Formats: sequence, C-alpha cells, structure tokens
Amino acid sequence: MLATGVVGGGLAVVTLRNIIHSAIAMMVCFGSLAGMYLLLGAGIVAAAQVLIYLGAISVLILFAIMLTQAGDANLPAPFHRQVWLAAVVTLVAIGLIGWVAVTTDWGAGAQAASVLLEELATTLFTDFALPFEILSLLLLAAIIGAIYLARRPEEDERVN
Amino acid sequence: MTDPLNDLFTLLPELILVAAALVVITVDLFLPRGAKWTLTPLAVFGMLLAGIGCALVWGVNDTVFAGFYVVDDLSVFLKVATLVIGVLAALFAPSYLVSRRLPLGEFNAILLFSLTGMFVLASSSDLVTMFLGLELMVMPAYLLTGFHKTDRYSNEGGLKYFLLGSFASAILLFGISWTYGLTGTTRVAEIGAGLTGSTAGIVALAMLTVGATFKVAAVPFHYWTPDAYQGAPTPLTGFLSVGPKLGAFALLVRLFVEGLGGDVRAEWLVVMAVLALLTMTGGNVVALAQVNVKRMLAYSSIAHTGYIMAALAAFAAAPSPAVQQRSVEAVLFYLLGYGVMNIAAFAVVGMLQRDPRRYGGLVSFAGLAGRAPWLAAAMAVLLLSLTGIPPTVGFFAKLYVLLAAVDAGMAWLAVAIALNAALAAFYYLRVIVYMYMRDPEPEPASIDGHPFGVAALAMSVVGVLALGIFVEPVLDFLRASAGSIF
Repeated sequence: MLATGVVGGGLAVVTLRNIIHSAIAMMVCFGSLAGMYLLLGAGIVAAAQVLIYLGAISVLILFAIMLTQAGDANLPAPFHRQVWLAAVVTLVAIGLIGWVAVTTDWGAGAQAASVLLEELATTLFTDFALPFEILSLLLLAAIIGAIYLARRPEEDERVN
Repeated sequence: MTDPLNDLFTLLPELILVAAALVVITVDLFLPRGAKWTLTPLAVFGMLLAGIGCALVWGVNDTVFAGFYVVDDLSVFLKVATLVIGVLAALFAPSYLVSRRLPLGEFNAILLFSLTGMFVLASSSDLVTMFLGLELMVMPAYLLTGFHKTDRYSNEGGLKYFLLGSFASAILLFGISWTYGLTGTTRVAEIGAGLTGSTAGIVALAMLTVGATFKVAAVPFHYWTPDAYQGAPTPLTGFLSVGPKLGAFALLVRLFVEGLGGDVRAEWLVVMAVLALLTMTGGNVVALAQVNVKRMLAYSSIAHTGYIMAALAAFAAAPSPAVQQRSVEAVLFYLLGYGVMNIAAFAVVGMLQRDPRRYGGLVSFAGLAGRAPWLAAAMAVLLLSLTGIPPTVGFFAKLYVLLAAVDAGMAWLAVAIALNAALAAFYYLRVIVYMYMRDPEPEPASIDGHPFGVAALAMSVVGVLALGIFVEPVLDFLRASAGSIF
C-alpha cells in the first residue's frame, strides 16, 4: 500500500494538469516514503523525511505556488510527445534493475543498520565532518545562485 | 586519526578558494557602480593564493579526514590545472558580461564555488565526498549556463542542463547506493573487490559510468551539451566546456583508476573503448555540419572528450603499471592543454558578439584578419592547436594519447583517433579560411575586447605555444603527480 502511495503519488505529480494538485500528490509520495523507511527499521530517516520533506519543503512549495501563480493554473503537460517510447524504455529498465535486485544475494551489506540518534550525531560531526561542511558550501552556492536568478533584471542593472 | 590541525592544513587551497568567494560576494555589496571591475582581479588574486596553497601541500601524500579526502600529488596537479582554467575564465568573462550589464560579483563568487567543487573532486577518496564535490561543481555550472537571464537561449540551456544533470546525478547516486549495498563501504579503494563477479556489480558499475560520462558529455549522453553550451554566455561556455569536464575526468580517474582492479577493469575496458570511439566520431561528424562557430566548438568539445576517454581505455588495457601510468599522464596532459585552448577559442567567439543578435555564425569571422589581425592570429593559433598541429600543445596532447593507445595494444583506437583528427581539421581550418580569405560583412560588429579579456587571450596563446615547445618541465610535473597513485 505504501509502495502504491509512492509510485502513484509520483505519477500523479508529473501527469496532473493542476500544479496545486501536483504539489499535494507529491506530499502523498513523500509521506508514503516515510512509512517505507519506518518499515525498513530506519526510524530516524523516517522522522527526517516527515519533518523536512513533508513538513518544510511541501509547505514551502505550496506557498511558492500560491504567491507566484497568476491566473489559470491549468498548464498543458509538457512532455507528451514521446510518452509511449519513454514508457517502454522505463518499464524495460525497471524490469531489468528489479530482476537483478531481487536475484542478488546482498549479503552483509544489506543488514538494516538501526542506529541511535546519538551515534548518528557523533558520526556526523566526527568522521563525516568534512562531507557535512562541503554540503553546507553547496547550499550556500545554491542560495546565492537562486537569489541571483530570482532577482528582477532591473535590480541587476542598478548594482552593476 | 591524525592531528586535526594537520588535516586542516592540507585543506589550505580549498579554504582559500571558499574565503575568496565569500570576500568577493561581501565586497560586491560595498563597491560603487563604477568600481565593480575590481572584483575580477580580486577573484584572480584568490585563485593565485590558492595556487600557493597547492604548492605548500605538494608532497604531502596523505589521507585525511577519516579517509574521506586524499591530498596526493595527483590531486595537486588537478588543482593547479583547475586554477589555470579558473583564472582564464575569470579574466575572459568581463568582455561579454560588462557589455551586457550582467553582474561580475555573483559571477566570480559562483565561479569560485565551482572551482572548489573541482578541488573536492580531485581529492575525493570516498564516494560520499565525490558526489558532494560533483554537485558543488555542477550546481554553479547550471547557474552560469542560465546566467544571462533575460536571454531566451540562456534560460533554455540552463534549464535543460539542470534537468538532465539532475537525472544523471540521481543515476550516479543510485549506482553509489548499489555499490554500498554490495560492498558495505563507500571507500573508493575498497569497492573494486566487492563489485566483481556479480550481475548487481555490473549494474552498479553501469550506473556509475553513466552518471560520470554524462558529466563529461560523452556520446550517447551528450544531448544536453549543444543547447547548454550555445545558450550560455560565450566566455562562460568556455569555462563550462573545460571546467566541469576536468572535474568529471578527475572523478573518473579517481573512481576507475584507483578503485577498480582486475576483472572489473577488463569489463570496463570494452565499455570505455566503445564510448570513446562513439564520442569522438559522433562529436566530429555533427560538428562538420555546423555553420555556427559556437555550436561547432560545442560539438568539437564532445570529440575532445572522446580522445581523453581513449586514453582512459588505454589505461584499462595497459599490460604493465608503467604503461598504465603513461595513459593517466596522457589524460592529465590532454585535460590541461585542451582546457587552455578551448576556453580561449570560446572567448574569441564571445569577443565577436558585442551585437547581441549575433550568435557566433561563421560570417562574423569573415575577413577578421583584415580588421583585427592580432585577434585573427590568436584564433588561428588556437584552432591549429585544437586541430593538433605542431608546435602547439594540441599536437603533443594528441600524440601522448596515440602513444598510450599503441603501447596498450589498441592500435585500432589509435587509427580511429588519427582519422578523427583529420576529420576535425576540416571544420577548424574552415574558420581560418573565413578569417583570412573572405571579405568582411558590410557592417561588422565592433570587437568586445575588455582589457582583462585581451590579457587572458595573450596568456592563453603564449601558453598554448609554450606548452607545445617547452613541454619537458610540464611533463616532469605530470610524471611526479601521476606517479603518486602508482
């Protein structure tokens, strides 16, 4: 049922014509994914998924849509010309990857690691300190770029 | 775990670049309108300081930060090459950006972040750092593609690059998660054994290869390239065609040269050789048909990717460590030489585009020798170098790839490279014919030569010739750095 939520939600995001409906379908997708993490024994990841994706990001997207949307929100679906070809290719790829995933003996690597929040935090700030910092740089670069792209062109002319 | 302060010291070049980016973006706030040009020398100064930082960590050869990061001489070479490209990119940009009233502050900061990403890639010894470095490199690249935000083509190119790039990153990430699932580690040096001998290993390897070869724009994962390169502001296209490519090849070298051994390498060889052949031929054949020089250079950059991949294939086929090392040297030398000549060639196209309606058609080169003899001569040197004619760096770059292929016993690949180089000569030389043998247009656009851009062009032409004539010192540097991973 959760898998149906993830896949169905995802499909709905890209096929629905109304962008608000798409955003809500995305919340269904995120929520179901959180449930799957919980079933797989990754409670912390599930909590993060709910807090960040379901809570923060979805709300942010809904707000962004409501603040920027002008007039009729029914947009034509942008990718529809090669949809059948794409569907065939995707199904073959899913079948192949799925078949390999099911038939492989994943051995030790697949053991579900149920970590305590405390251990996770310790690892994050000792061993993973460097990747963590790189990630914050990435966010900073993205924010600077996003502000630049979103700013009105007239304001650029004034600052240059 | 070693002393954390010592670890921090090995990060010196990266820290300097990040500091430079922050200084640029802060100073930008306080500069009056007429003084924005000072941001370019400021950014270049930061890059030169980072170069000194690189010199200080030369010879360290240590794994730091709990195994996530490796500072060896190979990484130092890649970082120096990155900085060469970065300095040229920063200097070339004003001639196009200033006349279109695009902000230099944001450009320089974003460029510095992208260079930092390339530094991280050059030093990654773990899949996690590798992925983050890649994203830190390409996220600014997406932004630079769409930098001219009132231009339709720039928007289109940026969006296409962003969407397709995100899919490629997702595939790479999926490959990383399969690799982790199979091997229980993300250390590059340890994944090789776990990927051998299972179908899932092949799937993981395929996804890693697809993700990485997308970023170097190899055929058949190149569909984003022409649109992104044509849409981006021209001097930035120059950076996009060499910077992220250098970073992605750094990833390929780190991941496949260091990570994979034995059986995996044999499987990977076939893939790499076929991709190299497809890429160089595909890029050249389509480039032949282009009448827009900017788009032609975009396709030809795909062909150059093919030559570099041929050197990687030679590595995979190499019978002995000595030959392997020579193949890696060929990769590194080609990246450096190609970086200088390609970024400068794009910059010349940009200088002829002062009139925003010109998108770099062949006609804008007609009769250039008559009205701007120095610019025409510079472009001619760059084009001859891209063709691979001595005494330019392009000749030696191709020569080393050819030698590597022959040494590795892949004579057919060497023949393919030679044939492709001959094919490429046609469209490169056509531009020279236009410059020297055609009459100019009735009202040619004036040349957009910002002093920084002219200086950078002079530096690149001297560099292209100097690297071709005094090749020995560079090769010594190269041998020492490639030697650090063998």
